[in-house]
Amino acid sequence: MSLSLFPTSSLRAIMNWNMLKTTAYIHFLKAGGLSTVQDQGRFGFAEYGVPYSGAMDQFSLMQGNVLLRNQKEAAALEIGISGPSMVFEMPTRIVFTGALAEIFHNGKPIQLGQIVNIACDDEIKIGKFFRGQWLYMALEGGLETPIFMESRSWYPGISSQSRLKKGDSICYLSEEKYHSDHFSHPKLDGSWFKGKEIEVYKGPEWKDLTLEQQSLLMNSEFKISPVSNRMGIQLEGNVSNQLKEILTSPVYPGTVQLTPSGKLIVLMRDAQVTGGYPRVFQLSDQAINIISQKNFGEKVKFSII
Amino acid sequence: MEKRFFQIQPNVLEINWPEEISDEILQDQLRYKNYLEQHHGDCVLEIRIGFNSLSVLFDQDIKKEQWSIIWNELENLKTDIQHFEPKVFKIPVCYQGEYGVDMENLAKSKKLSVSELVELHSSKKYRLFFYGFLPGFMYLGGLDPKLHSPRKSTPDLMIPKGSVAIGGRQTGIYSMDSPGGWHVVGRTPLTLFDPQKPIPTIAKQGDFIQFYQIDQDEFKSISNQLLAGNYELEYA
Repeated sequence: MSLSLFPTSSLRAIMNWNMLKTTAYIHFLKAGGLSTVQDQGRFGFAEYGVPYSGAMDQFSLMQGNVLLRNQKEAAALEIGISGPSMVFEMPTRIVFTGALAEIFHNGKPIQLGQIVNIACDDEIKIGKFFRGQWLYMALEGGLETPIFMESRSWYPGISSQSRLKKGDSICYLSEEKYHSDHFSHPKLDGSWFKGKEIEVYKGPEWKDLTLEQQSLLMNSEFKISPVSNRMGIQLEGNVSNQLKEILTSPVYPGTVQLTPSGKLIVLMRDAQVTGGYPRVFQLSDQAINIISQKNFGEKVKFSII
Repeated sequence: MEKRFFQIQPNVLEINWPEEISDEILQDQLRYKNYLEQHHGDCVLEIRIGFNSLSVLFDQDIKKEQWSIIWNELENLKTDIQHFEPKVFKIPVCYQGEYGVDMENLAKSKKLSVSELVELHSSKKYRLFFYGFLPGFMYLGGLDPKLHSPRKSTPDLMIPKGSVAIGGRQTGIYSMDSPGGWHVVGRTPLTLFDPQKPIPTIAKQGDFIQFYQIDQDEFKSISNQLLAGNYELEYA
């Protein structure tokens, strides 16, 4: 439907006044490699052992919600590894942020940051990922999946769903509103997660390392290992480690652990709340977002703030 | 007892006690947590606890001067006030058959009979130090040294929810299905973590857990009572 055919402004005002939200569903024809619903996370339940969860890349989640003027608590679809395809029942608006990937709206390519007007039965299909690990699809008003412990973020054992499957449907509220077509949109090119540098604070057990280990940790480059998921990112390379395990202590997303075999693990959003390996670094908030988008085999270097 | 603090992030501070597992540290932690929640609840978002550590997440970056005031208050808290009367929760465990898949091997390696092992495991009260590893997973102290056993070198891919297991110097209950490297000696029909409840767990930090033996028929009957919603958890 062409918006220029839309009637006079007086009629438009009536339509706004009469704004109705209708429950609608996104139907998934293909689930993709690792698609979940995520929001800012589940806070305040660590005393029961409950992880934060939430979007791996909180920066891109926020960008999507800002572009759609959503509340910051709005939930989005997080897409990893490979892309799903989906059909929308009713009109809404969506925007993609995060990883660079092929995205098609009814077969036509769309860009990151471009607000897309969705009509009834429109199809969105995600193809190849070019760079980055996590793509976010924010939707006007946010996804309306059930809330568990104050968050919509999916996590096994807490939310009723933990991973999107073929044939699943996700609820949203469709709102018939007048929208002009957006001709300009921010150029999101993923350059913000391109750099090697990962900003860190010294961890509680940093002081227990030898000078040699400290200089190795500060001056070496570490490769992102494929043994990585929403719980943690393992880094390749070896830091000989004679430190003994510590008594189980608090850990957070962004805590870098040094394992007995000399491997580094960067804990991510789904990480458990306590751990027993020495904690050598703590990533800054933005560094967690950056490292979440690093592809397997990419190199990173720690830089102490 | 000597305490130190460490700034992990501009808005996260951690307090450390000497490297040991003790009730004295636990009492300190409970007093600190209670005080911070009551007197600084407006700026403290979350407190995480380990055996000898307690970390505090603030709602914004915390300045040295602000922290030194709080630290001073904590260090001068009276030690004689007991805020907390610990409860003892009685957890039914079936140590038989498929529920205790590793029982026979573990008993053999410990040169104990199965009934001796059950007796050693269920005669003690275990202190709940904190939750971690999985939602609702209790870190329990007090396992009889005769039952200490190294974790499996290759973890099992799936340990069912409710499994009662021994690993290292600890015993615990898998609060949900999970991979794990501990030796499974039994299973409880109880649900120890329920995300639908306002307080999703049964016991609080500092409480005690005690296991008691049930047979397979009792396991089934308790499971049915739980489904019907008329099971009453025993505690003292």
